[in-house]
Amino acid sequence: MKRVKTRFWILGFGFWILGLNGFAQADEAQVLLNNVAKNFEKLDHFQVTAIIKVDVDFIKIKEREVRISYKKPDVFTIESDGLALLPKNGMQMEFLTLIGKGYTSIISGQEDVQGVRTTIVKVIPEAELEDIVLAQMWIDPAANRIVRMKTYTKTSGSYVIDFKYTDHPFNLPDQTVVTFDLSAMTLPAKMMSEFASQAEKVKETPSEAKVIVKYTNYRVNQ
Amino acid sequence: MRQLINIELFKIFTKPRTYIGFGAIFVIIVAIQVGIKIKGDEMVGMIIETLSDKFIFEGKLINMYSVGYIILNTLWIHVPILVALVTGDLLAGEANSGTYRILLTRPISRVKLIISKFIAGWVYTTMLIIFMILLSVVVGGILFGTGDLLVMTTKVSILSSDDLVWRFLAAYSYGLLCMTTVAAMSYLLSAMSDNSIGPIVGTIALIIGITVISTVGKSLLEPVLPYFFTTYLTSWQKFFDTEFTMNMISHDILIQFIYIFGFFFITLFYFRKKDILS
Repeated sequence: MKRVKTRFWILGFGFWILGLNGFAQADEAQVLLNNVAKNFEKLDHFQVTAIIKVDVDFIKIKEREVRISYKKPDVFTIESDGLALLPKNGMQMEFLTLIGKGYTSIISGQEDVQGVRTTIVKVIPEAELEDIVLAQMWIDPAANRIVRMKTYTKTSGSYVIDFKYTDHPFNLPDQTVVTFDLSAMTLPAKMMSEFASQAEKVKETPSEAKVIVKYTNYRVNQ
Repeated sequence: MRQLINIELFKIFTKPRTYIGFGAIFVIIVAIQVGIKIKGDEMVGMIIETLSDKFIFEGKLINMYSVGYIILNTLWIHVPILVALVTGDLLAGEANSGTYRILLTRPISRVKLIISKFIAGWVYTTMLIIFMILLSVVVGGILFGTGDLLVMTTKVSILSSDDLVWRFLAAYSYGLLCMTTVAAMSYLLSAMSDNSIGPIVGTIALIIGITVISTVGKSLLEPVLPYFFTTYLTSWQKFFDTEFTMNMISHDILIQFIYIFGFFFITLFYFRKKDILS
């Protein structure tokens, strides 16, 4: 009987330690995300010019310039003089929306990204965000900024966004590289009066798309 | 010679059937443009459906150029019929109405007659294409305004509006060249016939027939396909390739010229020896 009691206490203690560790990790993740969010506390609105380069083998488009406007909490408008092709995710700085609303977060490890030691934080939005069901953020704890983010969406698969920064006061990115999978995609090759055998050619397309967005001329709270 | 051409043009433009072509083009283009104006978003949505899973299009997808591109796609379907309607009647019409003998008793050579009739037919074809361009540009400009062009074939190309005018001019010029081939073919059939229906229906039957057979029996006809002029009717699309070079189209242009001169000289040779019995 005494043995059983001892085992029970050891097991209980184990669970308590595990739980404590989990809470500690969640707290640490929360702190990291709060620190990142602090960068944007004074950010009410901004306008920026973005130069977009689409790097997909079967898409031929020159670099396009678009004007992006943001207004707190998550109002984004994109304007373009011509026709621009934008990735469905990664253009609207989704991290601003994510960390601005309720979420559950946990640390899931550390990794070197772009030569920076980062902490990986998994974020599960509590509210029904438009499309994102889970986000994984690689956060630079020294600079309090997101170096990489992977979003898992309901409708369009996963997107990896790499952020590059200079020394912007609000830690807004100067460049983002959005990478996503295209392997399941087929083009309506016959749509424009093309005939058979072209569908096969389309399937040879690469499985990855890369969209490089360079942000210039930020006008924050002006 | 100029007087002969003027007379032939006068004959062409005094016939009511000549205006069927212009009327049909007007109706088709305006119908396409109004249809796109009303239901264009649905159509575009269908075209970009697969892309819109991963991408967002920012900007005006429906504009004067995209509508013009859709109209150009119809060029090889209905314009040959309208061209043949007039060029198929140029010689057979004379036989049909019994004016061959009177015409050929005038002090003009058969060679000059054949050249002048062909040039008059070509002028009609050119006017038809110019009318098509004007309608596309004027009505399209009013209804949609300008913008970039999205072209989807085996790849997706987005062409800037400032890079499109020359492409459209080149595409329409190539379209005119193809329609000249059609005109030359119906002109040959017209020389061989004493009734206008034959050359008109014959031209359409040949174009549609070759195209259908080439498509359905592609594997069977693969070795001879490069020699049919119908194979190159859609080559105007090459002008909308972002990596377009003249090498891509020069062979196609050459084939059309070979057919035009081939049909024309066979017509000339045949007509010079033709026994006029009507």
